[in-house]
Amino acid sequence: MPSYVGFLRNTTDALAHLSPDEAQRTLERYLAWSADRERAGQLVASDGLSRSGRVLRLADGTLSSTDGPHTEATEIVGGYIVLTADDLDQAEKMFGTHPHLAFGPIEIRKVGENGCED
Amino acid sequence: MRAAGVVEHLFRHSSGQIVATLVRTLGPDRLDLAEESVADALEQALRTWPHAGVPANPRGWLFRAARNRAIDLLRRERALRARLPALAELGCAEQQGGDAELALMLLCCHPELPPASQVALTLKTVGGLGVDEIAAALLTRPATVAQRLTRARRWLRESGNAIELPPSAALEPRVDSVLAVLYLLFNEGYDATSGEAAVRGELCGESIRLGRLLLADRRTDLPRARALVALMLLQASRLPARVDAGGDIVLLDEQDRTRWDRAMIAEGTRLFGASCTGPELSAYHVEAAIALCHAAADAPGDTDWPRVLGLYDQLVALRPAPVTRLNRAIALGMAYGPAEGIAELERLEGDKRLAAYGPLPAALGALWLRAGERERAAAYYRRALDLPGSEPRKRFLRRRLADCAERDRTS
Repeated sequence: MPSYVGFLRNTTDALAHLSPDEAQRTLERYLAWSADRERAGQLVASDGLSRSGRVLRLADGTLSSTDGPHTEATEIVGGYIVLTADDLDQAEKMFGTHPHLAFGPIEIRKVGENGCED
Repeated sequence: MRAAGVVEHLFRHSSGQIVATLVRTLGPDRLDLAEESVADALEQALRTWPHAGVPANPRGWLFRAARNRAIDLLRRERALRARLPALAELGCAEQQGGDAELALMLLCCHPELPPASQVALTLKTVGGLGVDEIAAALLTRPATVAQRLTRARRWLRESGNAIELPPSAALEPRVDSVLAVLYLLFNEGYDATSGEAAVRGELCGESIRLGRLLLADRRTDLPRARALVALMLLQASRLPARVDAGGDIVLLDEQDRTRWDRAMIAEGTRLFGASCTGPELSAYHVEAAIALCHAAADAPGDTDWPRVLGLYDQLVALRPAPVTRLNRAIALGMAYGPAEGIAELERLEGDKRLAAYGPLPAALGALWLRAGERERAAAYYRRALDLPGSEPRKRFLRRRLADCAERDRTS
């Protein structure tokens, strides 16, 4: 069965303005969602990403490194989740119930796209 | 991995503890930096825990994340670099959180701050409540709370107060100020003055938790602090029976007493005993004794009203507020018949401070109803309905008003 990765995008401070109790309730909803997928055997991998790192560029043969991803970007990828699904439509349905959607979009992509499938 | 590891209010309680621990090292003038670091740690937990699972020691995790964030922020501020080593050496908040929280609470309740700001600042920094939650709890607008917090923080920055417990000579009045804030907070939770819900139990729970912090430190474990925590426990023990399934208020004599929280009553009783070891007799002692009279009665008819009345006499002497006299008058009516209580309440009707106080006409309505004077009772209940009160309170008054009419028909 193909895998689909969902990139959890959010504005850099979407989660920072929650009160502690709200933050905890949000966490519990995230955990419950993952636990459901895990029980159904659909969860392949999932992890959070640091808020910033470095961006490497090779320009005119010179390697340059800048703090990134993009400090000017309003949305960053805060984490990713990989699920197995029959197709993109089913993956969309599954990600459609994720509590993260209250804070930012989820971008769904097929993993291992090889160019010759539908 | 599932929320098995997330204790109820973990984030809220940890955030108060960690802010307190950080502020102790950073200084109260950098409350903003401590709060930012903790908010960041929570956000980081929110980003990683859903994937990696809840760590084995979530409090320690949050503490380390907040401390590391504070170190990051400090590195950028030359003026504060001197405090870096102390921050890096900070042990886990759990071991010293209580102390630090207590010291921060004493600072938040500084008598130089207006009482409303003391309450807001305590709830925000020690209680870990958000601005919107505080506004909902205190029935004010979020903007008002934010403004009070800004002013209080500015005062903290400029006052140059240290975060350590004040020296013992200055400690007692400061504890009194904390007790006053907790008492206010508890009553706000126990008897909402307006709004939708009759009781906001969460505020009661928070005041009890903060009160216990005072008792955990030898220096602030004063008899009157014990008495206040005992009072709050005894009152809170009735919360489960105080509101019915429909959210309506149930008065003391109509409550299902089997629903009272026996564990709270036991602890409150024990603490009350422990508060009576010295010569000190505070208003909290007397109020706790009154609450104990009610807790000790298995049925409304078992209540020792003459004793309650005697205690109210003491309370009026200690705290001669009109509301105290109103409650005494009700006890008088219960002990020696409605006429006595009515006479006393009518004397209070002239007090300007009670002019817009709904419970006064409501009490007169209740006593006239007991005396069988339905029309007079109804008139008072109508007057009470015209005054401000919470929705459940209004529903209760309307029911009573209907009772007056009903008894009219059947008689």
